[in-house]
Amino acid sequence: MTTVDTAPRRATLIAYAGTAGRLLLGGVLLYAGLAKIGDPAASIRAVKAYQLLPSQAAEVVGAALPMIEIAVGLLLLVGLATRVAAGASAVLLSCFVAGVVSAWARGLRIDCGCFGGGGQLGATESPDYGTHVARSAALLAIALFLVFRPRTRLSADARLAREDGFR
Amino acid sequence: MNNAAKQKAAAQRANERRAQEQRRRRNRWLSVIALAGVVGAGLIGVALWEADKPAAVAVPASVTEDGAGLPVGTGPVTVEVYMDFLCPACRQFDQAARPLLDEYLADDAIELVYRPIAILDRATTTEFSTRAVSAAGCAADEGRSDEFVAVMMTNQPAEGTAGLSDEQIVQLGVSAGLDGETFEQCVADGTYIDWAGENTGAAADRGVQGTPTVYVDGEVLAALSVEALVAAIENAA
Repeated sequence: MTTVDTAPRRATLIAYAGTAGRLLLGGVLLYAGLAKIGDPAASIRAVKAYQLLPSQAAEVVGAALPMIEIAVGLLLLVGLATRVAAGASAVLLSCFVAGVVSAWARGLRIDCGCFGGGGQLGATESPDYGTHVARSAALLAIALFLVFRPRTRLSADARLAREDGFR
Repeated sequence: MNNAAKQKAAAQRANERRAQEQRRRRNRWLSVIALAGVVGAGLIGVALWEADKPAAVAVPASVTEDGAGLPVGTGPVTVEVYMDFLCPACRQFDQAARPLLDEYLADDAIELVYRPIAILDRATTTEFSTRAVSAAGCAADEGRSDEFVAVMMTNQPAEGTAGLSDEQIVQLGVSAGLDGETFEQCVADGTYIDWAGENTGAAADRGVQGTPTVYVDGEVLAALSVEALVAAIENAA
């Protein structure tokens, strides 16, 4: 009787799934940051539209968020300090989910401002909170997965580990 | 196993432990640096925004107390209209409500306050929304906000275009009775460009979620119809 050890194959699968998740999450964050960076005033308005923070705090968040998204997105795409970057994304996405759910619950009619724009809806548009929550929640799941399994293939982290002779 | 082999194995284990400890320390540092990089990126964003803020914002001559509204008339009921010069719904509202508002103004029943903001800068290639708000400030300097809003709404450019040029805005202003030279200078200088930004931010602070947004004596008009507007004004009077 021969026994087949499936553990290594499973680990490889998880590592590649992690790579896919890392690239997806990083790509979305980078895109979201780049979409906002050109118009910080709109980014600030989008934060204000949620009516959750006082004006000054909303300005700081709106001005900082695009750069933070770009930084975290780049770390994830490269696969450097994956656990930290995934943790930071999880925090960001939790805030996004909470913000949209609260806007939804309060009956606000706003655009999420996820990928640029000032948070205002056009006259003919209607808010689509369900889709936003579902998308953010899916990305949050990926981020949490990466927090617990930060070792992925094709990452800077793995490369550094290999240089140490560690596989 | 002889003694030499035992010693060798022990040394190897010690080496591995050292290497592992080194790796752990390196990873910890890497995490700290990455986190600092993320926070630093955010701080850079805030610093850039702060540096870009205008030091002093020029405000038009005749404005409301908060500096962001252009008042017309002196009646007891205040009708505030938040609008973007590029927004089609704002044009529709302006054209539908204007005859009625003119009557109320003639009876001195309302104070009409235009609150021009710029939320549609991305919908033109020339930031027409902001330039139009600045020009409205110039028109207010000469006490002709109402006439200027009317002519700008009638000649509203389409979204996705370059909008109106400064020259075209000046021509429209002159046709609304503004002094050509003064108005042209004011528009060309972009005198109230920063004011436009301030107003737009202040509107977001107030919870204005789109344009047009109409307040009658501080209450948001839920339905944007002439009937609802009449009802609200009559209620407030």
